[in-house]
Amino acid sequence: MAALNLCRMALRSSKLLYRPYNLLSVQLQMQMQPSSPPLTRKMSTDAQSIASQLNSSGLLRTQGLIAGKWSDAYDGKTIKVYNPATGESVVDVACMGGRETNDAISAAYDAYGSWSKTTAAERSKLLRKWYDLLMVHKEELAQLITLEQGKPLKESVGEIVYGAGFIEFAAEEAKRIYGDIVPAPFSDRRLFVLKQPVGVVGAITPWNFPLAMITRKVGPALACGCTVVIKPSELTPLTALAAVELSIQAGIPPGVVNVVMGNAPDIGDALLASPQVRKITFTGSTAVGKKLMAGSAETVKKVSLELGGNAPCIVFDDADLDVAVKGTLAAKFRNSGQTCVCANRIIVQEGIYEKFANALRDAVQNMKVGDGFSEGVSQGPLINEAAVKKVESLIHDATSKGAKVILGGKRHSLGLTFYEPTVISDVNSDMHISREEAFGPVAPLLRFKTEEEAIRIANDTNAGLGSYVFTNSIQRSWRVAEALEYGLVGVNEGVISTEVAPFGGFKQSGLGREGSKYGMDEYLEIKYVCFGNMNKE
Amino acid sequence: MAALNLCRMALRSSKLLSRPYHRLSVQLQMQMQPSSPPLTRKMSMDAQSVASQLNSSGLLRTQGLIGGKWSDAYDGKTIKVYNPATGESIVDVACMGGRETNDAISAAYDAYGSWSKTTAAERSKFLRKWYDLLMVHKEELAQLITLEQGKPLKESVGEINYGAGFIEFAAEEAKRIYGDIIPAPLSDRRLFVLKQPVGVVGAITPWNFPLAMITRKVGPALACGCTVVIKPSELTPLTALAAAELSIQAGIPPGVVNVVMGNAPDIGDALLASPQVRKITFTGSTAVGKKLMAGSAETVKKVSLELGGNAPCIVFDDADLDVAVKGTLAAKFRNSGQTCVCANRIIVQEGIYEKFANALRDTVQNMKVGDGFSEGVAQGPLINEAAVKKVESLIHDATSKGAKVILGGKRHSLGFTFYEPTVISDVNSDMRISREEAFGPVAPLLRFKTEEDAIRIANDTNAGLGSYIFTNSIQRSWRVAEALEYGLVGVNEGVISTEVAPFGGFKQSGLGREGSKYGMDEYLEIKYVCLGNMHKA
Repeated sequence: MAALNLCRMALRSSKLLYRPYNLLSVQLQMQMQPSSPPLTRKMSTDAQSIASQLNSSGLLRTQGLIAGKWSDAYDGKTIKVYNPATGESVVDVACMGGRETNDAISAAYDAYGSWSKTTAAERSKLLRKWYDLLMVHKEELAQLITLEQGKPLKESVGEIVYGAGFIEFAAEEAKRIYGDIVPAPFSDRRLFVLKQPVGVVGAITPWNFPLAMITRKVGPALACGCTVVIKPSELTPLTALAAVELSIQAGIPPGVVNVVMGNAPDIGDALLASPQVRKITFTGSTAVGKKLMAGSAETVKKVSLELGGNAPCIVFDDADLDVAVKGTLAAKFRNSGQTCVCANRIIVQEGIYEKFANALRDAVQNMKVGDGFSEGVSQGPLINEAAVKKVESLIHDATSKGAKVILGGKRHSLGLTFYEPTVISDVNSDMHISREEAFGPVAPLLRFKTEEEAIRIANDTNAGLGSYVFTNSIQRSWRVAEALEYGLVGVNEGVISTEVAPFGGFKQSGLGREGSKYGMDEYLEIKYVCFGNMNKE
Repeated sequence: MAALNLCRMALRSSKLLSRPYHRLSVQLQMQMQPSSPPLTRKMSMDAQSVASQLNSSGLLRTQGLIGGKWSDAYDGKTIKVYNPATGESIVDVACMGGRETNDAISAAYDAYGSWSKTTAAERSKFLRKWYDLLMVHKEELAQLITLEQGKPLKESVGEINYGAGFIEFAAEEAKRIYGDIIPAPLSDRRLFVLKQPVGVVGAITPWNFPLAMITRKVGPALACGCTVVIKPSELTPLTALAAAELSIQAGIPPGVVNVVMGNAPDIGDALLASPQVRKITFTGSTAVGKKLMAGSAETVKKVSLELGGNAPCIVFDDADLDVAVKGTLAAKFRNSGQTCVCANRIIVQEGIYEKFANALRDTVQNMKVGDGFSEGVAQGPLINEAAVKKVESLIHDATSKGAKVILGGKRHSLGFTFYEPTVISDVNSDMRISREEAFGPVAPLLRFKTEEDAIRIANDTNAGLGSYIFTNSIQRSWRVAEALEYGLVGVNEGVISTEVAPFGGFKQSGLGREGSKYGMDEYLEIKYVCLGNMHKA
């Protein structure tokens, strides 16, 4: 049967090559090959010692995980993982494709039969153990994140605590997958609703939060009784592999969690083609998300998508200026501006525009840029050269249309992919920087006069993920929060995501919700059971 | 202020003595003095070594806990705690009364201010730690239960797992005390509902489950942000004190958990009189529960009560006989029949009556009676001489009205409070054994002809706690389950209580629910907040 499924999948896979989905392959192909930084220099001593320490701790994994076994790519190919702060290669990892993915799917499918039948209490205990191990190894995992992704170590530790929180929360939610008893419309019937796991889940995750984007999906999936095939970003696979190593140590059975990385288009195609994969969950670009959604149609998979944002950060003249500056700083510059909820437009009321612009510039000026392992660093490198070029392009477009750089606006003297924290004033909605996700450390300041105008400017986008409001008015906070067409609204706060609250977007920012009790529904089927003939004696 | 409160409470307390509540004192007084068994012999070697081991582990506490400090009674009085299997005194514990209770209430009230403001995540972590410690010390705590209460060691271990489960579950529920947003009836308003802790809780618990009856109350109370004053039964205070010791080790702050024991009427009066105690939660006899409810009226306290049961166990002729016998055995004889959900009447359909009676008798015959520390023991002693006399009285009444003892029916040759597991046939509803809670190892078998007949007999009581049905018919299982006037219904299962499901009774078996998500509501106030004038620009 497994062999037959493999043959069938192979056939379908080849058919896919002639379908419009070919665009998916091209798109994923573009993502696959990280360009090398323009300059390279030797890995810092810190980074070298960290890599060797992680290796000896058993957390530095470089192979994929299929049915509980760590595996090389079948053709032996590898890809390099770079430290964006130094440009040096950290290590080579397996470069897997369709064949490995299909085997991972089979493993997940085989494990699903038993995993889905484990009691909620058992799944809860195993996830709790995994959470405990993630926390025990917090420092090592954080170092791994900084090493492969570049964010400051302090932010990496924050990500471990945040990401592990999803596993803890999911461990608890496992015991709360309550069904319902429905009042019956006929006296001879009894109706109830069960919630059951969807099946095998394909989880495709991005580079910007190497741990959290995985745990936010896999925690709930496993809690519900699903099994998973994870494809981490090939830019940041090491944290994913380390986390999964800990899931094995936690006692989670072979095949429940599988990891393949490398050839993104082939992996994606295999996940889409397989009728055994019943759910696709993806965080990444909007363009790729759309292709995955379309590709899921063939087998009518459940899909949840966390795609690009274009977060407005509205500062009213009745806001506490210090709170607004501090909140904006957090909303904008976290992870060097490389998060999908980063403030992409800072829309300031006329009356305080100059005051706010000056205060923000002064605050940003104090940010220390450097290798994430260095003490006191607030901003690390961007992930790769393409990211830097994008930022440069957006700034160029803005200034060519009248915007002014009041701070930064150029590559940092540290070289490589370091970029100066930047503040640009006199930005308007016609500029690309207001339209496209910058994914970089650039704060564009727009102006507005009235509340109505602020809301109009804020909602003038296809994206609808994160948004921020700074005001001291009770009425305004509710009016604006309700009017914003976004899945997340922070009032007087710049970093609001937590495992107990739902994360997800409106419009073209995605489908579904991750985290919180709401995130469990993405991995569950609803089954209606009707008992008839109940009046029989 | 505290001094003034103390004076006022003292005044109110003296007033209470002149009120009808005086009967409360008499009732509690009757409960307080456990009679010594008729014979005593030296504590068994096992028991001696267990006591000394517990002492060295720091879990053998004999003082009350007030404001984080272990205290003797202010007048130095003590009471003896007996091992019901040997009749020997284990240790003397403080015999506290009104003054100590008032100080405990003050401590709980003072701690409430800060505990109620801790975040849900913090309370969750403390409770999680407490759960972990209870599990780490599982064997010692189980030995303590067997030592002071008499149940078989295996059942004691079961109680630790069950009781600790409530702390774990409450730790998780702490983060799920969700409020609601209500669609507003007017456009210039926004309505929402908050859930906030009730305040200081007085928890009065029985001897039959020394750990679980405490954790089932205290877990949710603390999770909600309440603080507690616990009065464990003076028959079994040691387990309560050990559990409280572990709560201290878990880092739960001083004053959040307080324990007073000894002079039950004075302690009860103080809890009732105090306006600072906003909630009374009690498991015990119906008579005492009614007095506590009446006594709470003066200060309009929230009250939850888990009182006496009179559980029917209905065996239909379409049941699987083996399943029915096994289930009935578990429902009847757990803890020597000394639980409020024990099957008090076994109502068997005519067609299988003789067959069932014989099968049950044969199974019960195999039960080994003895000291709970001995290997293979299925039934330990009854808690005290009064309990044995009650059982004897009920059996005498039944046989005098025509019932037949087909097994047991007399004190066990082991002496003390050991009683033979007993099966009585030809019982009917006119006999006291069908009316009163036996709280002993006696299985009375009644007959019925029709389903309607069975339901009528089953519901013919003021109690409404636990109930059991054995049938293989889908229709019958739903019809009868729905028709039974009981808060818990087990279908083809004799032991059904779990931390994830609600426990509580209909009719005069009590008020409120413990355990599950429903149990949290008992410790919460619902606050409606209306934001008006929301149109102001």
